[in-house]
Amino acid sequence: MPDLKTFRLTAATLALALALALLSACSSDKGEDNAPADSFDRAAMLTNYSDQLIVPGFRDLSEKTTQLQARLVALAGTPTAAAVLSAREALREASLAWQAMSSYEFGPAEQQMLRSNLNVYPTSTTQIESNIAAGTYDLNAASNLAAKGFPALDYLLYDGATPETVAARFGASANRADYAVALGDQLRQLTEATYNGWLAGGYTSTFQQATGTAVGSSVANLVNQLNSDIDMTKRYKVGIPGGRFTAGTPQPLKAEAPYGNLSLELLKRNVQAERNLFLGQTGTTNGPGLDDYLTHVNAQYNGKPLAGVIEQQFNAVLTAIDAVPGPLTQAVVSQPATVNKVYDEFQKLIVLTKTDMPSALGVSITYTDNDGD
Amino acid sequence: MTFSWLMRPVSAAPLVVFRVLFGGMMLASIGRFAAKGWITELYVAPRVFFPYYGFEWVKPAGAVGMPVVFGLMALGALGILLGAWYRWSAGLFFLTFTYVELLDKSNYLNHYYFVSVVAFLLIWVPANAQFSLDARRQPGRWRATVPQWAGLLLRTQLGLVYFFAGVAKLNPDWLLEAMPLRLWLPAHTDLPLIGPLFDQLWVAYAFSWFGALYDLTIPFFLSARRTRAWAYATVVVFHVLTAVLFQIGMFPYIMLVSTLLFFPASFHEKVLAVARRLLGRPAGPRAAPVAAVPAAASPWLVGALGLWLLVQVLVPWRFVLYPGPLFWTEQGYRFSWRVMLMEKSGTAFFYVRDPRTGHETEIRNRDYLTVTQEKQVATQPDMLLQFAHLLRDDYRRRGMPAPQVRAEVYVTLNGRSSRLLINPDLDLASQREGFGPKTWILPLEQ
Repeated sequence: MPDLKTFRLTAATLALALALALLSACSSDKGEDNAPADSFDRAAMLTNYSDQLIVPGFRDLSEKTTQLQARLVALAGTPTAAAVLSAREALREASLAWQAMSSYEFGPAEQQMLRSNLNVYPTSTTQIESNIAAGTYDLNAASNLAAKGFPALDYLLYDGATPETVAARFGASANRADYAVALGDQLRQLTEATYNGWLAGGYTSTFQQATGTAVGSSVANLVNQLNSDIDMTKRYKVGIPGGRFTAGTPQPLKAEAPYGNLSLELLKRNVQAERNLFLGQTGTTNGPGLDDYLTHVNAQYNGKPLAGVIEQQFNAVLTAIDAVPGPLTQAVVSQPATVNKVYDEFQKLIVLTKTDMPSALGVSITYTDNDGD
Repeated sequence: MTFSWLMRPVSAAPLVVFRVLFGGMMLASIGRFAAKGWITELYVAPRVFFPYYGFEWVKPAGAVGMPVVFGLMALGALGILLGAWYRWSAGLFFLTFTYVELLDKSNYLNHYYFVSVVAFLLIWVPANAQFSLDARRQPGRWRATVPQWAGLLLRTQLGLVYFFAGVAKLNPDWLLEAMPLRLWLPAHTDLPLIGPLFDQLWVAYAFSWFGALYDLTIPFFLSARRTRAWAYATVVVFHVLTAVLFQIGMFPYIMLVSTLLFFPASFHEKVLAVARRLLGRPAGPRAAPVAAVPAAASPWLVGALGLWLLVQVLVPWRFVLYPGPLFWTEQGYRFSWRVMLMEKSGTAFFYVRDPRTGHETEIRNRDYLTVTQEKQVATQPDMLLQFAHLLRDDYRRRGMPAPQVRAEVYVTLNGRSSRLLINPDLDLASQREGFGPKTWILPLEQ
């Protein structure tokens, strides 16, 4: 009875294979405790990211926005030039803390939609002024995305040039002071919620345990969000004000933080943070990161290690930024070549991080869960 | 192989079992597709579409129309499953499925093409001979046998899929470099038991060589009685492994079911007997016994289907008519069963220039394209050209009389460093679409 034999063997193989598949599917998202020495320890890399870069970063951001909020309340209470200066300094520190974290838009940060809630620019001064005039507004409404966050505070605290003028405006209008406080309060709430989301028992364990590389895994999230952040840095912080999307006509007011002229400082901090993400680095401490992963899979670029080439390109971007005479709002008009140089270095960087890196790591650049073949 | 041999009556069971399983698989696939929200995401939400050359007249049906199309498709699949108004059902399923596939080549997958092909063939074979509503409604249509050619047609088509998938693997990247598996496998070291193996290079080589050998030989091993059981065991292991390792949706399961076609009639008779017992159906026709004559088939039909197979054999070779490496130019890549052969990704910067002022604007691709479309455009020359033409037309509409479009496209292929895919200075707006070789594709080794 060859037929019955066929039938039995087929059934047995099917059962075995399905059992294997089920076993794999069930346990594929569990951590690997006893990875052999010669394989790359992705779990250790993820732990470095969460414990050394992400959680401390969101803690810092949450603290800085809390401080900003307190200074705005103080300014609203006693609108003096000194209070304006102190609020400006807190705004600068909080904005810089955000630049360090904008690459991590997944999990809690994605839930709070930090990128669109904290930093949509150019800010809409007409929307801000109409909200202030009305005295009532819903900061969660989509129509107010460009009337809140750091860019709106940049306008409120800097427009009018001298701290005295700004203080006088706040003194003259309770609505204006209330609006600034409301903005600060939302910044504080959103960043605090994000930080709390990452705390132990929450998203941190999810992040550390998703050790695969498929869509939705932590490595895929890091690689994809790093790339979308670099893409946005290139486009919004440099390309649009530099006129790359408007046939060469510069758009100085579309720069980030154009009123306080923080554009270049924020840009530089952002690129440094993106480089740190790539390297798994905090301060001068270099932990396991994407660069080590690339080295492990022996990724090459024209005969050189890809990890080194990408790090050099990050440095080339930073060097080009240093060569731009501040402020950016003037440089795009008077020294366009220096700004174009930054942009061109960005183009080279993004080809490496968006094309060569994911390919070498087997991570797909995609945000949806489509089939392949 | 004479005509009478082709017409020889054989058991209808293999064809009938295949019909039921295929219909069921398709119904499940459509449900899965809809549940994932892909009808809207892929066919309603996108602002632009990338039709196939010559099929630009195929347009999406909109937010109301597309779900209706998928509903009709599901109806067709159900009709195939039940054997109800079978030929119409198969026709309906084939037309709706193929219509959807023609809408946007960004979504091209070999297994979608496979489904279209099988659905087309099902229209012409009498797979509703038994265990079908048609035979129940009209007992006179019940048949114990079908002509030999019907099963042979499907088995040959299936064999061609495997065989060409194997032939496509006979290239230096796959065999000598273990590409792209050496890039893909290390991503799965977290799987239990077998995971740690994927970091070993020899495993990538073993998988590559085994995969090539498997595809080339499996149709033959499945056809021979002595090797069939073991061959099917290999089929199961192979496809389950690909399902675990790669994101390929329903494809492995469709192949697991389709390869049962190679099993002897007695196996399928047993399956049908079990199914009938479960459903409490009689084994034979409900009415008076019908003479076991095969369903009629004209020599014309058999000839046309033979011609179909010939076309299927030739189409995968059309790439030899084009210059340059196939994986790089992708001229003649589709419809050839080249499955999982490349790790290819790219970054494309598009620029529109107004010749009146000489000023150039960079395009934000996502203003026009979905993530999937942008990914496909960045690596496929024909889609680069289509997108350039979309941009040209859009800027014309906005009042630029003669926009020029150029693209800087960097592509990495199977671990090679990223490099320019096409001439970055060429005005794509003035290039024509067509089947002719695209001379503006730069060589792979520059």
